[in-house]
Amino acid sequence: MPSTDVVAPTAGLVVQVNVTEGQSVQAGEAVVVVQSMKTEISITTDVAGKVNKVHVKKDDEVNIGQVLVEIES
Amino acid sequence: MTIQGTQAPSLEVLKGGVEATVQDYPGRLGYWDIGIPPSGPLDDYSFRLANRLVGNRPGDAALEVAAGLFSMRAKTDLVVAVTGAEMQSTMGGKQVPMWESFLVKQGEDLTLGIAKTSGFRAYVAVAGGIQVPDYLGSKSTFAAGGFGGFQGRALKAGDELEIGKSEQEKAGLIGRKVVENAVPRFNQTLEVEATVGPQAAPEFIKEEDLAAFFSEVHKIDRNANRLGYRLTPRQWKWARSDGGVAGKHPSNIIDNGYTVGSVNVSGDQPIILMRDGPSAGGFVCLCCVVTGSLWKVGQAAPGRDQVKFKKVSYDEAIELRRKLEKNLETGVK
Repeated sequence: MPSTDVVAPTAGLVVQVNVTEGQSVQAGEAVVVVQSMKTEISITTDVAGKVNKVHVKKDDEVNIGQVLVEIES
Repeated sequence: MTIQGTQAPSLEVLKGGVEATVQDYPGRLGYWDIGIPPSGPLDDYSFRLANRLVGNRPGDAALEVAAGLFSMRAKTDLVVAVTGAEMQSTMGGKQVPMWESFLVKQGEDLTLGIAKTSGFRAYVAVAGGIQVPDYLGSKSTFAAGGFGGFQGRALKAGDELEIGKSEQEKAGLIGRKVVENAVPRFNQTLEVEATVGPQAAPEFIKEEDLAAFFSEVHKIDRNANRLGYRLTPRQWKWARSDGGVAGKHPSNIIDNGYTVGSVNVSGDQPIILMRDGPSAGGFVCLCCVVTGSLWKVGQAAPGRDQVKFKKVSYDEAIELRRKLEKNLETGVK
C-alpha cells in the first residue's frame, strides 16, 4: 500500500496533533496544526487512509518540508 | 490549437493552502496617512514578471501563494504563468515550467507544492488578470484589515475568481519566457540593500553597533509575515539610557511615520516593515530596505532563511530601482 507524507509547508511550532497512529483519516482532514507567521495553519492530508506514523508532538519545532505524518492509503 | 470557452473566464480554488491572496501592484496607495498600508505582492519583481508573461499590465491583479499547497481548476481555458519560489507546480501530475506562460485547459488543475529549498512566495498570473472589486483604488488583499482582494481574506477551497478579458489572442501568449539573466535566484542567506536612518548613530545607537548590525547575519523569525519580517533579537549598544518622554526603553521615540521597508527596532528585536505593516509608531527605525531590494525579503522563508544588510547611498538605491525596472521591461521574450 502506498504511503503518503504530510509535510510542513513552513517552519513553525506544532500546537496541535489531531491524529494518532492506527486511526483512519479522510482526505482534507486537518492532521496537525502549526503556528507560523503569527497564525495557526491547519495542515491537511490530501489522501484518505490509515495513519501509519506520527513524527511530531505538541511544542515541537518543525522545518519546511519536514514529514509530520505518514498516511497509508 | 482550439481555445474553448464561451462562458466568462474564471478559475476555482481547490485548495487555498497556507496563504494565497489576490494582490495588485503598487497596491492601495494614498491612504498611508490614515494607517492603511499599500499591501500588494511582497516580491513585486517576480509578480510583475508573471503578469508580463501572460500579456497583462505589470500591476494587474494576480495571486500570491505564500508557502504553497495551493491548487486551482481552470473553469475555462486560461493562459497562466508561475514565477517566484519553486514549488514543484504540476498539472495532471506532470511538472509545469516556471518563468514561462502556458495553457491550462478548461477542467485542468494546477497544483503547487511547497518551497522546499529556497524562496517562499510563488506568483500565479492569469491572462486578463484576476477580477475582484476595487477597494480604495486597489484589488490587493489586506487580510489583517479584512478588506480588498477576494472578500478581504486569503483564498480557500470553493472560491471562484473571475478573470478579465485579455486584449491579446491566447495562442500568442503561450510559451513566452523570462530571459535567463532576469530570473532571480533565491538564496537561504539573502543580502538586501538598505539606507541608514532615519534614527541611527550616533543619536540613537552607537556607531560600532551600527557597523555590527550591517556585518551580522540575521535569522528570520518564524513569525515573519506580510506585516513585518521579524529578525532574531540582539543586544544593542544604545546611545541613550532611555527613551525620554517617549518611554523607558531606549528604542522608544515619540510616535512618528514609518515607511514600507523600515527596519524598526522594537525593544531588542529588529523588524523589517512589509507591505501590510503599520504606518506609524514609537520605535527607532535604524535603516530602510530600499525599494529596489525589498522584493528579495518577500522571498525569505520564516524560520529558515537569514538576511544580511548592505549599506547603500541614496544614489545607489535609485540605481538599484532603475536596474530592476529595466529587467522588468526587457526580461520577457
